[in-house]
This record gives sequence, C-alpha cells and structure tokens, in this order.
Amino acid sequence: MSKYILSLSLLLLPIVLVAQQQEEPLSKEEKKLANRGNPGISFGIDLAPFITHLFANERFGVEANARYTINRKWQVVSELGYENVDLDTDEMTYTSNGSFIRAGIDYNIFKVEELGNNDNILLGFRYGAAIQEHSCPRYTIKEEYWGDTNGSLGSSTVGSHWGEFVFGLRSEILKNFYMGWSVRFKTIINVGKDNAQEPYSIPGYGSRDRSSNMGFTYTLEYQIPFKKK
Amino acid sequence: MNKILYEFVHSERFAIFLIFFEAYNTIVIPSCYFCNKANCMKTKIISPFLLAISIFALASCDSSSLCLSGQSAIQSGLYSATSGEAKDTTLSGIYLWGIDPITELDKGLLIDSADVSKMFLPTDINRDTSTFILREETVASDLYDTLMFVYERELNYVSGDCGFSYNLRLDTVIYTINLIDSVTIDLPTVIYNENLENVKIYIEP
Repeated sequence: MSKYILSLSLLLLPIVLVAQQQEEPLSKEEKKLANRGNPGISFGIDLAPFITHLFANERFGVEANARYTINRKWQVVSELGYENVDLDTDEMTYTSNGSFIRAGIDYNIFKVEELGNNDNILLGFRYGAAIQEHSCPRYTIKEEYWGDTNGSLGSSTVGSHWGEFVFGLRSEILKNFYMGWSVRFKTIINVGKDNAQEPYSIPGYGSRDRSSNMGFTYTLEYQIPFKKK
Repeated sequence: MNKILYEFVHSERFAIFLIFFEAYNTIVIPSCYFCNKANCMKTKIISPFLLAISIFALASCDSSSLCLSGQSAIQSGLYSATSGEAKDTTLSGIYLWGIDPITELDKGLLIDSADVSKMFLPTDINRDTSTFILREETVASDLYDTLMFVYERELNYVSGDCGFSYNLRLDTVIYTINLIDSVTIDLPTVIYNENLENVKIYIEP
C-alpha cells in the first residue's frame, strides 16, 4: 500500500509544484514575447518504469528521452529504453530482455499569459519499435483429468511495433529543469512471434495481452537552451 | 493487490479518468493549474484526494483476466440413430471414463448419470489419442462401447496470466458399436474459448 501511495504522490507532484509565477496583466507585445517559446534540446529520464516495478516485480526497465523544442508549439521527441522481464507463475516461467525506441512529435496547446512561463500541455503521437530476446523455459498446461502437461520453448528474437497517442503536461519547475507526465493510448501494429511463443510483455509497449494498451510516463528533463537573441 | 493496481493503472479506465481529471484542471479552469491564486489552492489540495479516492474505488472494481480450464475437451452430443440429428436423445445409467495405457487411470467422468444428452470429453494432451469407455447400465441391458479420438495438437499461447493451451484438430474417431450406432465429426477443431459441438454420437434405438 505504501508503495502505491508513494507512486501516486509522484504522479500528482506536478499539481502541487507546478505553480510558480506571479500574475500580472501583459501587454499585447509581452504576450507575443511570452508565447515565443523556449527553443532548446532537453535530455531526461522517465521514472515510470521504476514505479511500474513496484507494482509488477517481474518487470524492470529504464527509459531516457531527448526532446527538441522547435518553438512554442512544436517539439520533436525520441525515447529510448530497456526492459527485462522474469516471470515465474504456475502457468509458465518466462524471460525477456529487449530494447525499444519511440519517436514522434508533441504539439503544445497551452497559451501562456506571463513572461518566462515555459509550461506545456501536450498532445502528440509516437511510433514505437522494440526488439527482444525471449524464452519460456517451462510452461504447464493444466488438465485435471489426465494430468498436467509440461514443456519448454527455446530462445528467440522478435521485433514488434506500435503507435501511441499522447496527452501530457510538462512544467519548468526550476530554470531549465522540467518535470512532466503523460498518459498514452497505445495500439499494436505488429507483434513478433516465433512458433507458438508470443511476448508476454513488449518493451516500451507493456503487456502483450491486449491489442491496445495504456501507459504513462513521469519524466525529469534538463533543457539546454539555444542562445537567445 | 499490487497486480490489480498495476493492471488498473495500465487500463483504459485509469487513462480516461486522468485525462478528464487533468482536463478539468487545465482546460476548463486553466488558471487553477498554472497559477498561485489563493482560490486555486482549494482545488489543488482537494483534487489529489479526489483522485486517490476515485482510483481506489475504480481499482476495487477491476478484475484480473479470467483463465478458462478444460479447454481441450471434445464436446459431443447424443442423437438417436433413427431420428437423426434433428432430435437429440438422452441416456440414463451412464458411466464414462478414460483409458490411460500407462497409468491405468480409473476415474469416472460420469458415474450413473441420468438424462445425459451431451458429454465433455477431456483429451489427453500428452498424446495424440484419447480413449474412453462409455457404458449404459439399465435394468434391461448393460452395454459398453469404446471410443478412441485421434487428433493433432497445436500449442497455443493464450495470455501472460493464463499461459498456454493446446488446440486440437480431430482426425478420426474409432469406436465399437454396441450402444453406439455411429459417430461423426462435425467440427474438427477444438479451440480455446470456443463452445461448439465437435462430434455427434448416434445411439442405437
């Protein structure tokens, strides 16, 4: 329970921390200036895989991202990550190691009314691709009358890809230091399959059991601003 | 609990809830999200509690995926040999058990059952054949028949929670004809989560 509350509070942290600027009415020129944006390139990490690990011990992952802010509205985003799965249930043992990349764009719909406010409300799209090596050293098919059947499936390497729609918030909580989260609707395009073995979890996508999946990210980023004129 | 929460956090309901929650905070009342106004503090303080309560309420409704058992069972219907498949028939005093050539399995599937019109025949998924003895014991007669189902097995991945199953393709049914008149294969595939009759067993009048 404490783990859950911890992760929930992390998710909600931006709600508490994000407010920062004092409001003053801006002139038309100042408004224009405020909405010029803060172009730059930022690098960050996603804390969501660590939160996920608290709920699902069998998964462990890391994820980093790079974001190129072109202007106030448009951002190009790339996310790289790794996921390891070690599952051991009555039905099967399963291991997987894989990497993924997501690339896409974010569109900022937030119009600011104060100078120096670089907060974003983002709508975006990602294309994701993953490659993983997985195996099933044991599976057990339960049959009450005749008795259970055991078997194993060897190691294989498979690739999968998917698309994601993104809704998120991103806020500059310190100078050039951003915190944000996003909720994602993911839909699978293709799942790699080798014989009967399908991935239990696709790195970057999540559980394979659904053809669409939800995900969230919780990112901390540092932005290297481009020189201002 | 952790698994249920994990499933919930990755579910559509959670995402929809978050989107509506944040839409309320950011789009409907944007000034209450990115500002320090005093009257916004109420929203900021209360909303996390509302969110937490809602998550727990919704999570308690979430259920883990349902795994089905006995999914490699051949489903058979009993029919009268004289009336054909238009009319099913029922038998009483029915005994049914499987024959395992190695373990000499001696466990009844049906024991002195009445009004039997359908039978679920679990298959031995360690082998390509399953053999059953069907017996009808009445005051007037005591008849036995042997049924041997020959099939191909195909390993099928169901899900992470449920693991694997075997789908079957029935090739042949070999049987004796004391109680049974004939057996036909109507649907040769036995597939996970499919509830259809595979074979018709016609009973002697």
